[in-house]
Amino acid sequence: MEFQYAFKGSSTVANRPEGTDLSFSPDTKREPTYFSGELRKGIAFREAISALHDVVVSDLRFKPKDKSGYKEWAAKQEAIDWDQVAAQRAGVATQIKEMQAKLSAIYRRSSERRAPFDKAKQAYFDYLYQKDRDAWFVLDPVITVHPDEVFFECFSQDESSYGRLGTSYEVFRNIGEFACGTTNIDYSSALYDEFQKIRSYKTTKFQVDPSGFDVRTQGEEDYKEVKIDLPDSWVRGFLQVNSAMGLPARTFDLHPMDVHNLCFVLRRHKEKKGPRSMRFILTPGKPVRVVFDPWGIEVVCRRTEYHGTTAEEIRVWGRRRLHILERLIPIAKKFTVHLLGQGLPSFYVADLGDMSFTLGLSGWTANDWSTAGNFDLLAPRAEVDDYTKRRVFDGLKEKWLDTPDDLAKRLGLSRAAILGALGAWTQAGRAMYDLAKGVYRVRELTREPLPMATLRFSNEREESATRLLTANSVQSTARASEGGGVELSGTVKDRSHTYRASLTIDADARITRATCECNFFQQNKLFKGPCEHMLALRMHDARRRPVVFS
Amino acid sequence: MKLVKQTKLVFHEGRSDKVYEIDLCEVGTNQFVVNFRYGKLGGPLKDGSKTVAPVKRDEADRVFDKLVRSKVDSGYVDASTARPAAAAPVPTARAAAPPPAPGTVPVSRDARAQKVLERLAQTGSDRRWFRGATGAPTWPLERAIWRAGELGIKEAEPLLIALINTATSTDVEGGGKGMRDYCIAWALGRCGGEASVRALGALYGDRRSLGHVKRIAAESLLLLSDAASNDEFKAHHIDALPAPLKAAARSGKPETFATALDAFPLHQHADVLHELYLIDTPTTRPAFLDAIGKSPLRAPLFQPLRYIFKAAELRRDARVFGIFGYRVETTAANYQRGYRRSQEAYGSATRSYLRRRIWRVLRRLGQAGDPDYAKLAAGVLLPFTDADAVEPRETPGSRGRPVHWDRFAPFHAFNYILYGNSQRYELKRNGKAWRMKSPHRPGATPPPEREESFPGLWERYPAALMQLCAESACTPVHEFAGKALLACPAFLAELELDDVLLLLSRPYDATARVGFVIAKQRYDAARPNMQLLGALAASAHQPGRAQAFTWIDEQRALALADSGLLAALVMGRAADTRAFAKRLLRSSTLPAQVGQLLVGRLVAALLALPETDNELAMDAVQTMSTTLASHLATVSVTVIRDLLAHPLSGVQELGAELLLRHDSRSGLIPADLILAVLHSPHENVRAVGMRLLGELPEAAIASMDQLLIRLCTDANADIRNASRPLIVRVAANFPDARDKIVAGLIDSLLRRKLAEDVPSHVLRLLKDDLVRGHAKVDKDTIWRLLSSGSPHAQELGGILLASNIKPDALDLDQIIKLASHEILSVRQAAWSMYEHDLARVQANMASAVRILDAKWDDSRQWAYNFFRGPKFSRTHFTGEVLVGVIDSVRDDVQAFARELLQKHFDEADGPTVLLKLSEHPSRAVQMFATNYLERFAAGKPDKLDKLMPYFTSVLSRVNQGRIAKHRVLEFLKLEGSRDVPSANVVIPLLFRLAATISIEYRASALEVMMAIHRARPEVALPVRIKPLRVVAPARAAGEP
Repeated sequence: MEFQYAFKGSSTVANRPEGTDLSFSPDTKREPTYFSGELRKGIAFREAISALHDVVVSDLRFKPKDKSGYKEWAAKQEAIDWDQVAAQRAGVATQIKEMQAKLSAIYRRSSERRAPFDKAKQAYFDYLYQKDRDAWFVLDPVITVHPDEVFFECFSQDESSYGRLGTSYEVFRNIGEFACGTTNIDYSSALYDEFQKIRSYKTTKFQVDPSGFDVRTQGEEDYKEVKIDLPDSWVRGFLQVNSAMGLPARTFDLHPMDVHNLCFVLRRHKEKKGPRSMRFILTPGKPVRVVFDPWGIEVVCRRTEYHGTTAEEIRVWGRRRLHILERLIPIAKKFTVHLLGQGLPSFYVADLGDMSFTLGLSGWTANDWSTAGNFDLLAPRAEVDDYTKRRVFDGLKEKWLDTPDDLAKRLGLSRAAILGALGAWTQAGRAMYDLAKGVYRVRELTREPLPMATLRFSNEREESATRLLTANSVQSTARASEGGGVELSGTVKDRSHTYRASLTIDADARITRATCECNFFQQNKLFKGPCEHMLALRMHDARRRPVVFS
Repeated sequence: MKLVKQTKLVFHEGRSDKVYEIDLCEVGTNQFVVNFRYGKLGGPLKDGSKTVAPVKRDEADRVFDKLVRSKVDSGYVDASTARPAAAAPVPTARAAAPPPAPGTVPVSRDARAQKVLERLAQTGSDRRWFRGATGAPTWPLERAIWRAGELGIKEAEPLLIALINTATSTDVEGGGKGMRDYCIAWALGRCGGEASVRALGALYGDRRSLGHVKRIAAESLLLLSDAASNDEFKAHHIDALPAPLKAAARSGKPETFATALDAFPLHQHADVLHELYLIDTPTTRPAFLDAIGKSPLRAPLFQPLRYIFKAAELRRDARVFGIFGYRVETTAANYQRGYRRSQEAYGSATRSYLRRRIWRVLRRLGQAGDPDYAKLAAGVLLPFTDADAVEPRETPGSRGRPVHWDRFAPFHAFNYILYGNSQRYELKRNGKAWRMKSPHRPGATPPPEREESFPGLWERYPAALMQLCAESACTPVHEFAGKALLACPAFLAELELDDVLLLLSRPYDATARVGFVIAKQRYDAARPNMQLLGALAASAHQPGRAQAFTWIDEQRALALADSGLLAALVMGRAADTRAFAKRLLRSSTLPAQVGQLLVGRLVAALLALPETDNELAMDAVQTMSTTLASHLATVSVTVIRDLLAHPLSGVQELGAELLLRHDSRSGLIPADLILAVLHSPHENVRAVGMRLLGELPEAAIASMDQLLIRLCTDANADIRNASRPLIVRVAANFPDARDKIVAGLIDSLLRRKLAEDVPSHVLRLLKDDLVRGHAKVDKDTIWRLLSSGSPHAQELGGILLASNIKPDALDLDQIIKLASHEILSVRQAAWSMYEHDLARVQANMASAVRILDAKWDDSRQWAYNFFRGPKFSRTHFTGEVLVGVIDSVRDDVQAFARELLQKHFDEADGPTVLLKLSEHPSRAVQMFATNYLERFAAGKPDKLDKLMPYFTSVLSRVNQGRIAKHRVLEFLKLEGSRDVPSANVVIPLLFRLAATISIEYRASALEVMMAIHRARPEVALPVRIKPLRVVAPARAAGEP
């Protein structure tokens, strides 16, 4: 999916001894949205926006190490070894040794001679790397101005973490004119360094304005056209995490030091084998306990009591992403955790006083096929006709934000219809649920509406799996396997054929092995991901398991 | 914090280069700390401290010495005494089965005819159940009928007519489905007479006759009927054509018909193609031949093409037969046998059949001794050209011997005709292509003996050989035809002069050799034919040319008077001909008349040259300019314009050359001609254009500043380079024009996307040749150049920055920006501005120190040395300035800031500096700030309150900053115990920390809380203290 932006100039942070000017350059192709004010709580804002930056650059995907240098050396060494073997046989070892000494001297001299060149080359590559660093950022953050707060949202590069920083107007003073709306802002890595220089003893002006602070020096580029080709999976991930926010969840508060403790365990230990999950053990009236697999380390959050009604154990994965919260520990009053269920997104809302920071984590860090077919977060929740949807959206847009109840009262519609409509708008990326305040907000992610038809499923097999499931043509049996996993087997009736499929799900809830009788599997095995029958089987099995919002 | 003493240690071993710096600092009265930094040489250093809490001097000294000793023991040496790191050595500068033997078996034609006649006369049952027993004829009747036609047996006519409509079988094998009638109609066409016309007419007119029978009957009728009825027949068919074609066919103009047929959708009316062959008038034939040459061999056109092929065979129409044969040889089948797709014609089986059939027709003709063999074979050979040749190949053969395939190996009939009796080529049984017999290899010179099939037939019909020599564009065909022609001396002796000239003009050695043989016979030294000499001198046969040069030298006087001969020599295709012409012309003087005539002829010949003959053109032009100089000036401007418009560079060069000479005579050249020359795609021509431009008066050049700018930014390097002297001249004498050019070039650097290498050229011009124009460039332009994306513009900006801008013209912010510029010279300019404007820097230290945060290492390094210098003292580095420096996010800048702090720190600034440092987000600075806690925050509850966020931040670090945490806890213990308000501030923080799972810090938090509680019992604790319960130890076994 290609997005085009036109920024007027770049976002700049001008640091002077007496103050800091933060000027974010919005997308000029969108409805004018602007805001200006002076920060009152500079330090907290600095820490929060730095955490947001951490979300933007977060990429925990596995990156294989570059071993080419070693392999080259090893090949050379192997040749030498073979030479030696041969030499010993022929009895000319001494001669070879002499030659080798000479050779290594030549090598050494050559590498010494090349050293300045290599060093300069490396320096140049480093320079290029730094220079093109802005190309790393997948999508510039989105900024939204609302009557009660300004908020930034972003999504990480590895398509797994969502960050939202809401700053209410209490954080600012001398607020100028503003216009509500959503826009994309120009963002670069250099900005992060400048954020670090925000201090409380310097006034910090904050501005989202196409015209910027000062008259730009003549001759600089006026407009910066940016074209970003976003993978569909990225957009889908964003929408999935977003729509998950509006779902009912298990909620409890954590003391800042509890989050510190969670991070502490992770900093002190390194997992070498799975499962790499974190279990939240919730017992009504008791402190929340968190158990880290596979070590079994238990963190008891003694200053938190769980207020839910039933005892539950919820497993979540991708725990290293919690390190994003580290910078917020000193300034947070508390963290509210929202858990949707096993393998589903989880949310951590940091209460920073007048600001709030929401970290949304998808079910796994790697959103690949091995976890596909777990849950369909973009499935329509309730049948609502287009007219009602339109009415609800217009009604919400009147005030920009509202609770479902107030909206229902205002529009005279049932709460169910309102929720269904708002769910649909959230899935389409045009509204969002604010976990911190419990309200729905208008937030149009993109200028043009997103093509929802292509976004709901990542491939046609997922779509067919959903169709098979709704047609009730799946039967499955599950049995526990060694190592905490599950073995699923069953039949799927697809038109005139009935396929037998089976799959093994490991302790990390990933598909590790699968078979099916269908042609797709026979031809591709698992190289192109699971077939629709395996997905249907998995979805069928998942339906039977407890899911919080089902 | 004051630095008391410092030791720098270094460690070198192998590839390891490390440093270890140890400081002993005073943080308060008799309070000292020992800090250290370590890491890779030149890299960012890590901080640490050996003293969690400040200690007394003697204790600090002990810690310091111990650390130094331990490091020295592990291999570190003092940096001041260490040997310098081994300087990197500076890199040095060097851095077939033999074809049926043709005509060898003498066959009595009569006997053969007799057999055919006998078979035709033998009627009765065609069913041959028991072949041997009944003695029934084993030769199918239809075959005999066809043979009668092939052999042209006139006597068979009544028998054939009698056989019409006699087939009773429903099987094609037995002559059913019109097979017999079809064969009869075909045979009658070849051997019939008056009677046949009637019979065929009846067959054609009979409604019951099948389509293919009718078609072939019509063909035979066309062969046998008189011209009048044929015309009537054709007129009738023209009437039946679709309207647009009908009109065009009647127009009598082949071009009109060709256009009409081109526009006609033949594939929708496939029948028309066959109709056109029936019509076959001089008007329609060229377009028809074109159409069959390009119609796709697919449905629906393939079927009519097949009909046409059969008709051509009957008519012995060599042209059409040859074209079809060529199409079949060069067009791949639409599918392989066994993979038939529905509705698809022309598969591999069909193609194979057709290829074999073409040779079969020829072979039968040859075996029958029919003179039409030569005609049809020539028709088959003619469409092949050298472009049809494939790459010679070598494939692995049996027993490891490679098999070689020559350039024309894939063509079936082609090879049979040319190499039927060859010692070099053979077609193996079932082979698809002709292989080479060992030891022959592709590319060798052909043997002197003849290799073709039916050589006798060719000799009987040498006109076909002559046709091949005149029309073919295929080397092997010429090799064959030349050899064959030489075997017909009588025919050669009879040849007209034009034909001999034609033979000599062909670009094939074999053919030209025939011409040479004839020319040698006909040469008469007394009355030499100059035309023949000219043709021979320009021929493709080298010995012939050598002979011709000798003869011309002998007849020099005559030759020099003959402009036609001279022109032929100058424009000779072979290089030695042209060299001879040059030698001849150089060594003699031409009369003016002949010279002008020659120039005229040559110009005309050059203009007529095709685009591929550039070498020839270049040679001819060179000959003209060296030997005919005196005759060139007369060429008119119109001709020059024509020459310049010619696509060949050689011809254009002549035009430019003529233009130069023209100029020298009259001094007036139209401006458009100069531009035409300058825009030529050829370098040499443009060079002439530059010369022309250079010869213009300087004032005129100076007035063309836009043209000059365009030349400087031209994509062609030669134009750019040639324009440089012009620029230099203009720049020296015309200041106004120079300024305009400078402005224009700068503009082009900034605005336009220039071709590769152009920006560097423009930069060179501006840097070296237009230096004097720099003064007029204003500040804004320079700033634009500096902030442009192009590196060349940036470099120019750097140069102009140094020369045009005074240090005070830019404000400090701008200079600081320049210090992060990508171009070194710009950064250097920024440094020098700082150095020259010291007073301003000192007056605005708070802003000026931001240069320390520059993006480039060299800028930062310079800045460190600059601010370390003696010109800066404690008065300049106020607390605010120092904090401004340490605010940087770069480790090295922070380290430098700490160095400055230690050097220039003023105690009076202490409290504010501490407060400001405490807001820094980096761990190193947070750690650094702990050194000031003791001195500037102790005993000040108001300060304590402000520092709380700092303490929270330090204590919340996850698994990091042990020393800082310890120091903070120590400090809090001290402060909390001091008074109640302080304790009330500290206790909640400790309570918060107590929630950690880190055993160490939970214990510390509780311990500090308890200590405060002990010191100030009135302060309430948020924790409840359980009284100690003594549990009696369990009794050991055996005790009572």
